[in-house]
Amino acid sequence: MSILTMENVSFAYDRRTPVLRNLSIQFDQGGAYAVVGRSGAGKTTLLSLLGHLMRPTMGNIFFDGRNIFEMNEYFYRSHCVGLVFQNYNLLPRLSALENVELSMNIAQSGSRHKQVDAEHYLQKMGLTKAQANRRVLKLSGGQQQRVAIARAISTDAKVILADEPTGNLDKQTGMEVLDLMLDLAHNEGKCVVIVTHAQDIAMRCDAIFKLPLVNPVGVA
Amino acid sequence: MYIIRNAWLSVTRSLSRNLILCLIIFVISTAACVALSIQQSANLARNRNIQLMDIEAHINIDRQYVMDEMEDSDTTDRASMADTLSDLSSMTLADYETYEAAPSVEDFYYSLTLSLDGNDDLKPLSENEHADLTDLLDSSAPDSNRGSGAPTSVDILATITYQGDFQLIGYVSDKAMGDFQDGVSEITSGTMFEENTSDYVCVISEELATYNSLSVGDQITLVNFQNDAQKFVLTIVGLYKDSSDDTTTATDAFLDPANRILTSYAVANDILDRSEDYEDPSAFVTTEKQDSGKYIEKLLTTNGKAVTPTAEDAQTDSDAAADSTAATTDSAASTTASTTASTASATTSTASATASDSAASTSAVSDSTATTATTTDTDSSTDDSSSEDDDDALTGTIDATYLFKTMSDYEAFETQVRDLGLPDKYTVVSNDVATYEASLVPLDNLKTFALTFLFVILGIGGIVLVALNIFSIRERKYEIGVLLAMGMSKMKVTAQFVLELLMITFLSLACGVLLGSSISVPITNELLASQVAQEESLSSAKVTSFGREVSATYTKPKGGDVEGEVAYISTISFSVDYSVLLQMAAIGIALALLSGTVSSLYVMRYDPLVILTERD
Repeated sequence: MSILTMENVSFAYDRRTPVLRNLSIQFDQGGAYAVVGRSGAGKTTLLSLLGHLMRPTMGNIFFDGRNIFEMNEYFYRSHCVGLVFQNYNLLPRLSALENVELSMNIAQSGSRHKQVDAEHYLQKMGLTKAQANRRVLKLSGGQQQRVAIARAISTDAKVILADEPTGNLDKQTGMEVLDLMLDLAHNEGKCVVIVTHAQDIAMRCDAIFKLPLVNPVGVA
Repeated sequence: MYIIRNAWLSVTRSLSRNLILCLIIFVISTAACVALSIQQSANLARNRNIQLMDIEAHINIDRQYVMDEMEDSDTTDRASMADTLSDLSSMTLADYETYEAAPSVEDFYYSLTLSLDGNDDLKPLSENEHADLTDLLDSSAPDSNRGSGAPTSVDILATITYQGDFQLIGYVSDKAMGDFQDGVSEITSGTMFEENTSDYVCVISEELATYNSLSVGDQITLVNFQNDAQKFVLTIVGLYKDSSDDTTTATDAFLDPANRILTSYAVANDILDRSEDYEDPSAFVTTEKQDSGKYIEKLLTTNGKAVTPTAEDAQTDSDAAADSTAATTDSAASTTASTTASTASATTSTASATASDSAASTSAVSDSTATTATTTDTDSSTDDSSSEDDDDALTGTIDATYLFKTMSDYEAFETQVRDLGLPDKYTVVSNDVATYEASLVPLDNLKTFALTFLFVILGIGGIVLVALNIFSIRERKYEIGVLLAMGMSKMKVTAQFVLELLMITFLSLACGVLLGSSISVPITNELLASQVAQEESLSSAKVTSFGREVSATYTKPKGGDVEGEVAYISTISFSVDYSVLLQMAAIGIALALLSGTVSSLYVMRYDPLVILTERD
């Protein structure tokens, strides 16, 4: 079932440098997608459009049948998608737990036990309680990325958008993080979109889109 | 609200970043607190002291107003201006009494000042050549034919405005004697005359008494300096000492406070009446002798004081009973006669005779006549003085004082008297307010300084804070990006940042107020001391250049007296109160919002994509 649909999306920073041209892709729930391509091919741009961080020059993106550009961008970002970055983008002054809690707060989660829930998400990502209460800067890169993924799923977002999530991690840790994300797609029905350079990461996904896109390489 | 929690975490977990901000706000707030408390103290000191003192006010002619009026009506040449100004009569007692009805008046009293000379037995202190000129004038006046022939030297001398050597001041009540009320003057021998007595008694200064070898119980004779024949005899009932230190500087007899002779208003007014209706010199002398004799007798019986009457007085005493009726009727007669100004001597004697028959029966009748006459007299005397230049009758100056309990009463008074019909050419003035304002000069200077200082501090502080915030917010753009990417709205991010600033500001502000309030009193007093010193050196510089006290700002003319220096307010005792705290809070909010604006602008323009493209 399609959760995120791009319809004839084009994007250009200015007239002479089109980045994306007439792109139509469907992302399904329970699917893990890799977006690959050379630097400057528009990978991050694609992710930014999906995350409603930018608007396309032409075309639309639908989330669960609704045009995301007609939705409140803050609501969309806090409820519909979870973002995971190469450099984790955690708030350094807060503990792992507080980072996750903050995200839940922003999404105005109705849960009365946010702390317990947050701990639960972190545990699911493989962090101990002691690690959860540490400042994020005291954690390793892999641990930080796990916190970031926990944060992304803490709002019950159906889509996880990851920008080079393994880029700063060693190979083994990267694979562990990827496993977590694939698990979210395959066992929890999330839609996971991963922008990556790494061939081995891309190969493990259900489908790969190579930019500049001519034809989809594969469909789930 | 998670925003508050987030802001709090942000403040407490990045202390090093906030420390410099704290420090700057701390310095600003300490300085602002000192400046504000100086201001506050200045205001409080002003209000408190002005509430504590009674305010005396007078109604004077507003000459500037009159001149402006004349300019409007194209009467601009100096001669006509001078004419109009000299024609301006002072208000009469009746007028003054009308304005007493103003509701804010706490008390009302007045005195009547006459200018007189002494006879050969009574010489003034600080005597100068004026006296000789008058002697010359007096001796040669009968011989000279005024208005015919070439002007003689005597004629020229006659044009010199001459004042008597002595000031006879008649007070209507004890309250009118401000110097005695204030303790500047005090009776050292004998006693003060009774409040508004009609007996011919007086109180003179110790110095004058010593100079003329006079003592309590002696009589002095005062002479109308324009007409030697008019003699008034008063009995000394007390000597006073004037402890103000400005008595020795007078260069003219009539300026020397030691030459002031104090009596009651009734007596002064009676002398004025008699001078106007003067016909027969013998009538005066006998009357006064008897009056004073009675008074001395009364003093002896009521006070039991060791006042020894002179032989002459004792002799008069025996006659007193027989002559007392005549004395009373005499005074009644003269006042009755005065209502019809300038009557022939024959008429006066007739009137006198008639009056003695009718008024002798009850003293109450003559009393009431006298009161009525007083009011009318003052009118006619002022009319006389302005219309008949060569009238040699005495003229008096009424000095009426209105007393107010509070500053607001004083301020309301002017409106009230205007409603009561006070013409625009008169104005309400108060030396107390002026003197008090003068005493506040150092405090006001300090206040101005403090205000300037406050604005400078706030201006510089504001700029520094904004600059710091620009740096701080640039450092935090990553954080902003994350928050925005997580779906936090720009409004909320801004709110969090402003909240953080408010927290920092108020934390530092509290410390600043604590320090500021503890150092503001010593700082204020230190600054005030230097201001007072500066002001005093300025004033002494003026004295040097004038060769005498400068009367404009530094003295307080009151009843013809010149009082001492202004006592500057030189210390304050309290500083920070709730209004200062409120002002500080307002400053805090203003500072936080000012620097918060920078954050807001930055956040609002922020594009969260930045964090996605910067991967370091």
